[in-house]
Amino acid sequence: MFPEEAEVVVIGGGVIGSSTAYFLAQAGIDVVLVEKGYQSGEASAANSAFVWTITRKAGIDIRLSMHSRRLHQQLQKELDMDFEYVCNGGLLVINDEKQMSYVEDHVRKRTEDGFPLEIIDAKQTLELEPLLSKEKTIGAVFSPVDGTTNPIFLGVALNLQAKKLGAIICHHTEVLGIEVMGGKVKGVITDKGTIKTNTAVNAAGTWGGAIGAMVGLKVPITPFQMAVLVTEQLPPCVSHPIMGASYMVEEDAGEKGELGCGLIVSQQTSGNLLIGNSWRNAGYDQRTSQEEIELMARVNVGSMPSLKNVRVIRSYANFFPHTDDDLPILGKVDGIEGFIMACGHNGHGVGLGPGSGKLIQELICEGKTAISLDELSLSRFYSK
Amino acid sequence: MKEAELAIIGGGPGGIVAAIEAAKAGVMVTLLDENPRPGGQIYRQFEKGFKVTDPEVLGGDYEKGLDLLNQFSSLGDKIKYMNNATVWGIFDNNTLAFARNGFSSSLSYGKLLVANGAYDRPVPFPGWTLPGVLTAGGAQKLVKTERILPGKKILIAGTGPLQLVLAHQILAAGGKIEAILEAGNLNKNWFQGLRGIWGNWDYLKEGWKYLRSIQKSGVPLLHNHIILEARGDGQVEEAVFAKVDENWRPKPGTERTVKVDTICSGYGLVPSTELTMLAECEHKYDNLLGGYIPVRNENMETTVPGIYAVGDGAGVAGSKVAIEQGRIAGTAIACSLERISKAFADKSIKHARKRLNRYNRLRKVLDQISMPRAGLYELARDDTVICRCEEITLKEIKTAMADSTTQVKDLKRKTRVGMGPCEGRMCGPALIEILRNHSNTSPEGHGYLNPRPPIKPIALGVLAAGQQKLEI
Repeated sequence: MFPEEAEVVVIGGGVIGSSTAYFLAQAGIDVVLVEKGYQSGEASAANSAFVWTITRKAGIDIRLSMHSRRLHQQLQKELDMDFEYVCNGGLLVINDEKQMSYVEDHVRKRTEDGFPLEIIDAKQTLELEPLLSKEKTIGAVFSPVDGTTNPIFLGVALNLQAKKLGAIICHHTEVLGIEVMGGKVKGVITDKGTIKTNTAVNAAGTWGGAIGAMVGLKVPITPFQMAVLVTEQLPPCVSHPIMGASYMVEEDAGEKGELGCGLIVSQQTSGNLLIGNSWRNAGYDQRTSQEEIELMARVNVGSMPSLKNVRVIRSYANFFPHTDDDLPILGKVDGIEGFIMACGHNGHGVGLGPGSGKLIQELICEGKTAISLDELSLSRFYSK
Repeated sequence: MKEAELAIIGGGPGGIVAAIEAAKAGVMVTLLDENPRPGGQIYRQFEKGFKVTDPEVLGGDYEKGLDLLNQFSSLGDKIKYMNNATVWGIFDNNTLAFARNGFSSSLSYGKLLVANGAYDRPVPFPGWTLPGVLTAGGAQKLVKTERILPGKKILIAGTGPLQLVLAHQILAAGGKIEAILEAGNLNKNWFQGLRGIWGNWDYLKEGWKYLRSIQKSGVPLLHNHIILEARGDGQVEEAVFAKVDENWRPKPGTERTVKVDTICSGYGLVPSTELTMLAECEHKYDNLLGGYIPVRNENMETTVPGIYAVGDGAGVAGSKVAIEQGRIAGTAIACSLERISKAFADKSIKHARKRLNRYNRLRKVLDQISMPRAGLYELARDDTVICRCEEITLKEIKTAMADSTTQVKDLKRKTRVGMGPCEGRMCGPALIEILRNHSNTSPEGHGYLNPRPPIKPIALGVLAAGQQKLEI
């Protein structure tokens, strides 16, 4: 039976929407989640599976990341299903002096903000990850709080638990419009029927702009493609999520539309290595190209030469929701009562998902949040 | 300028004949073959060092194949044959990616013909993962290519004429077969179908030959019988089988046990559609032709203009059908490239079309006998592994289905089925049938596992070498 009404309708069944629905159900709210595809269908399934803080910047960025990272730990205890969250610490690998000076600056700013990071030398780095190239590695930033998860299982586990708590999850249900009367949300119109509600959460990720447009909002989110290679299953050989510092330097250097690639390797509990990432501006094209598959192989074999005989069994790509300041859009919007934004996570949706979901639940239930959402409001793009 | 006017993937009969027809008309062809030598599964050639002393072991098709292979090699100036080439992706701008000799390369093409063949239909039953259980195709490869008998006491269990061919080859090579279980009823339906297949003397003679050879050998051929379970401690020691009804559901009280060390499971073939799916050709489900197949027009062209598909990979129908389809596609491609006139093309494929119609009539009869029935996919028990790569059992799949999961790709998300190195080739066909049995709906309703490049496992070093080569 399709639900006719709900206290809150969450739009989007990725990690952010699923977290929001779970925390709302836990707080006793009558919540319905609608998802156009299946759970963790888009960027929540196709990513590098990091729960990651090293590259997050001082200020709201790192506060939100740390908050969310704690919630991953909390969920590990709360949810019945294991979602393979492993926290062994993460490594940002440094290959040259340019990267080193950039990273030193980053570490200094983070330390001043109260979230210190440690730079380790090449020897220590290779002891932690012996497969890294001896020739290329000059050091790394190590963060003990970082780890990996199985983002698909995280979505499944959140949905299962939310259902046990009374939430209704509607997959393959597409939102066609939002009913607004007198500046207030009145319902969510889907291809399966209309759900009467006073509160709608826009957790539609890259499609957050399209959902926003249904209530007349201009949401500056654009799709940005990120691709990953999956290898055959191997015995444990990589124990930390590994990212190249080039990723951080180049990301900041701009040129976002062009094909780029940095070292990213992690090993899933299943034994598969996730290797990446290439990024490019490809609109909503979900396919991977020969060029990016081969580029990812070349960059990562260059940084971890002994991987050259490991076989790739597939590739995948998704588009993460890009915003200009690399931060998500969370919170209420001016002029439409009951419409709440929870999207635009810039490729950090898995890491930030549980934190975002919890904050939105607090906003709905208590009207105030553990971390101020002022800097994350939609209006920040228009007030300048 | 494209590097290949026509690229053909697959060196079996369909691919070879298409290459011959197109090259004869003046088209420059590049044929990418995963095998070391042209011929595919049916005309599988031997590694150097083997000598064919008795063509009988290889089946009647082998001799005919030699003629085609000779024609193929005589057109060497028009056909560039690349062996050991694993095509791992099809991409935009008419390019495909392949791995060969430790490099990944790309090839741009004007027209593309996919003749990728088929693989043995995997059927999960209790004990099917025990060493000693192999597919009929795997057993045939052992006998034909490596001249090795798969075991000492063999049970052949499955359906359709292919397992008669295998039995014939094992017997000719001196092997011992305990019994052949045919889930359908070849005798009854075969002769009932005769009226519909008038004129197919070639096919009939061949089938008759195999049937006779088995009857003469004294090996029991049990119609309407199915294998229920393979048992053994670390290795097949015995097989349990029973009589079945018309839906291939076992009749209670008819179970029997036979001591064997090898079970060849042959329930026909499943088309290899990864490449046409990757190329975003439209596919439909056809029970008689082995599952999902690309939708094609009368010239064998798929719904993506310029991409053609022939042979078992576009619907399992055997080498004779593949040859006629290859002839039609090769000629139609030459015509679309304006090497021959429409009138000439129509004339030269008139006979091929006629023969194809005739073969199709026969295939329909045979397929109706051997098409998998509902009972086949009910053999697995809750603890039977369905996805061998990820070791996912039927129980895990049922649990996911009970939670309103009705799409194959959603099952993948929820349980990891199809996420291993075979990319769902082993469990994909079973998943569709299990979902269908579970919900009584059409298979189309459940979709299929989307292939993702690389469609076959390729070493990172091979992919990495691709870019370096481009820079040279």
